[in-house]
Amino acid sequence: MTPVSIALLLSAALFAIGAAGVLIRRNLLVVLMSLELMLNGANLAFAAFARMRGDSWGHVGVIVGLSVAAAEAAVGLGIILACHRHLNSVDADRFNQLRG
Amino acid sequence: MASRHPIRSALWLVLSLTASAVCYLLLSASFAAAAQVVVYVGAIVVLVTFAIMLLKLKGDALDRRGRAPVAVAVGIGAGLLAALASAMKAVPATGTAAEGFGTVKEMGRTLMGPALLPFELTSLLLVAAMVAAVVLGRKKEA
Repeated sequence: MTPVSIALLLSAALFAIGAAGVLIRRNLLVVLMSLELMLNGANLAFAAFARMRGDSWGHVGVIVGLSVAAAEAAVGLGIILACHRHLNSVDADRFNQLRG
Repeated sequence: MASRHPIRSALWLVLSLTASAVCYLLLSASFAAAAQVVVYVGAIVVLVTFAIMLLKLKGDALDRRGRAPVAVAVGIGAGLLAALASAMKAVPATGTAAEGFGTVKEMGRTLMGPALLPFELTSLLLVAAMVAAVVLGRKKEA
């Protein structure tokens, strides 16, 4: 096993754990954290393929992925705070109507 | 992910993100590792922790979980593993990295040269996210 394939396996595992968290947990905060984990897995795959090909475009992908994760965290937490103010809960199953 | 309380999940998230920063270092991506530590561990986890503490979670809201989606999640993970394995066969491994690969200098050259467009799009995305976060976080005027 080369380091690259180990990193690829790790990224797949991170992505799978994040997907499981998104699917299983109903607390919005934990769902958001699992989403971060999935993005992180994708970033790790970017870095691994960049190392494999000796190409810095993969690192550009990592940087873009990091910014997407940061933006997603900011907006997602804003939405969660607004929802909590509205319904006093962070349970995903309770947000089942579009209009307030 | 398996922890019951979100703050424990956040602390585990810190651990796993730091570990993957170390993986970036092992993949000779030092700039990406530094950005990972600063952005994820420094910013995102702090935001998450603040949100958890602001929300004052009640005991019953902590968590419920189902059984059925576990199979779906395991399926997704297995499929992804298979796809990545076949991709590894498709891409030829070039072996050792070039001199200075992944350093800040090299990254700056790439970001300011051929990769200028994604870089600028990223800054646009960050501005949009900042505005959206401010608008969402504002208390509603009656």
